[in-house]
Amino acid sequence: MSSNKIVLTSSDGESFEVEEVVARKLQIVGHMLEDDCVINEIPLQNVTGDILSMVIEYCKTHVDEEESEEAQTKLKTWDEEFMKKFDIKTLLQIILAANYLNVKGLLDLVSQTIADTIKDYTPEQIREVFGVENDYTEEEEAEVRKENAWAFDEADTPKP
Amino acid sequence: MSDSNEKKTCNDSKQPILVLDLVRLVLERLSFVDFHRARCVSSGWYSASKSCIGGTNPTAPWIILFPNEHVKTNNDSCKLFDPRDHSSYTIRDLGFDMVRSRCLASSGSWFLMLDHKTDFHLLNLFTRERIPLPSLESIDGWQMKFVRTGDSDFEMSMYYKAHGLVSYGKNSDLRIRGAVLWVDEKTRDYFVVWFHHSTFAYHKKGGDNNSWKVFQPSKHQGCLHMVYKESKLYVLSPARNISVFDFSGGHSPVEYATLPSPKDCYVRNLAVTLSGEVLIISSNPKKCFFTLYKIDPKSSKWRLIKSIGDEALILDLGITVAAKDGVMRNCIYFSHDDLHRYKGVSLCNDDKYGICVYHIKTKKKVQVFEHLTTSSPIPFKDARWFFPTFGGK
Repeated sequence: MSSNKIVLTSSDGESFEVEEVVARKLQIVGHMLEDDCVINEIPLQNVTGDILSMVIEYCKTHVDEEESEEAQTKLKTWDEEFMKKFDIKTLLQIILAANYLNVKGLLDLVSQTIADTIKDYTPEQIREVFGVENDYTEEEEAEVRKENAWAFDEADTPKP
Repeated sequence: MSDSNEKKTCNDSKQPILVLDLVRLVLERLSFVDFHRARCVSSGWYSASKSCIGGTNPTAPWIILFPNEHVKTNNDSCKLFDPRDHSSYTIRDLGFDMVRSRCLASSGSWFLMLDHKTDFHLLNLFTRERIPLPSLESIDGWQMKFVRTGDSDFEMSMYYKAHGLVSYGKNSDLRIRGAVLWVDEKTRDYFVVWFHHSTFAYHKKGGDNNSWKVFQPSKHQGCLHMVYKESKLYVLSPARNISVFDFSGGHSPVEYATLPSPKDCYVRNLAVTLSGEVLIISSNPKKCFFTLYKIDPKSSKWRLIKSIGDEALILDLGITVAAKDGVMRNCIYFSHDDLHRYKGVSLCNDDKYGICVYHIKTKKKVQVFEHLTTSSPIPFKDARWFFPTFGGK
């Protein structure tokens, strides 16, 4: 295995020295290395150091994608524990980073974690957490609410 | 949000805003119900939700309950039940008179409804889209003709090979029984077939004109049950003849195959399996008792079977589905007796006729839904198993 080291630098100037196999898990880096194989320092403009360190932690853990069921289960447990560390705001930073750095596995994992986190949120709570502006007019919102009103229905649930 | 203190928090004061591609990734991973709530967040989220295809659709069927005239709320509502977590939901303000309409068939979240004026509509429960279908008066050819004489009255004339043109005079209660519906959730293409007397009428989106085309099969008359799958229409006649018609040609349907007639005279339903095999089902809903047959390839005769393997039969849809993710294997999902549905008999709350999941091998009901129908007077006239889908646009 190549022991070539790559230095990844975040937008706020933090540098991380990682093995090339780990850096290649970031597809954005993989593409750069293919274009020019002599780079060993890569600046990453759209991610801060604290988020980049978490992405690297994920990539280090997932560097050997073993096929065995045991290894898969172990990784899955690690993923779950890893995600538990973050609050929703951090998860949103990670999804942006995973998208920018193009780490497919992490993008899937963090999308699922965000979905699991917001599943019982009201639209108002989602707006607050995601910083989304309610851009509906009153009439539009009433219409959309009417269309989806059934999904807000929790009162009439008969138990068998 | 009340996150515990040990969780890492970013001190970056800038609020991250997700691009719509990322919003879609999250939306696709929500459950069907949570997905519909999240659509209300903003116009951006709403439009992102429209491009989510299939990700959030329930894997196991739900039950839809259609209200009868005893319903106390508005006429334009219906009830949904998700048997996996015993949740029920009410869809209100559909803007469509559900009480005075009958459901003839469904495909995903689309329902073929026949209203009290005998007009056909396609109705999507979740997007609330409605597509009016050609009126009964718009039928091509001369084999079947309807002339409207009142709000819900028609004068009907039919052509029979043996008798020529027969006029039936005024008909105020046109009971169309058999129908099938197929809708492509993505392209919104649709195809409808219904049967009346000896004639089939069909209509597909983007046809030459806004009318029904008709066809009369050469050999046998009548239709007890029909199923449409992959451009083929499977028809069971009252005399237990089974024919398959191919609609893939774009022109008139072609008789594609005929299958042997079964001996069991209680055969009342057809179904097509995942692999395309035809099953026939004899039933006695008074006892909630079903017998299944399929063709034995050696003898080319119907052979009784005790298992459909890792599949489940959704009788209302005439198909089998893979038994996974909450769908029970080797079971029949039963809702309402066809004959009762046709005669307008409301759902029964006695356990013999009721909605159930029936295990084929043990011949026992493994799930019953009495709590849905025991209220008195029974507010539901009909029920169907269906797969909620959200296909986007």
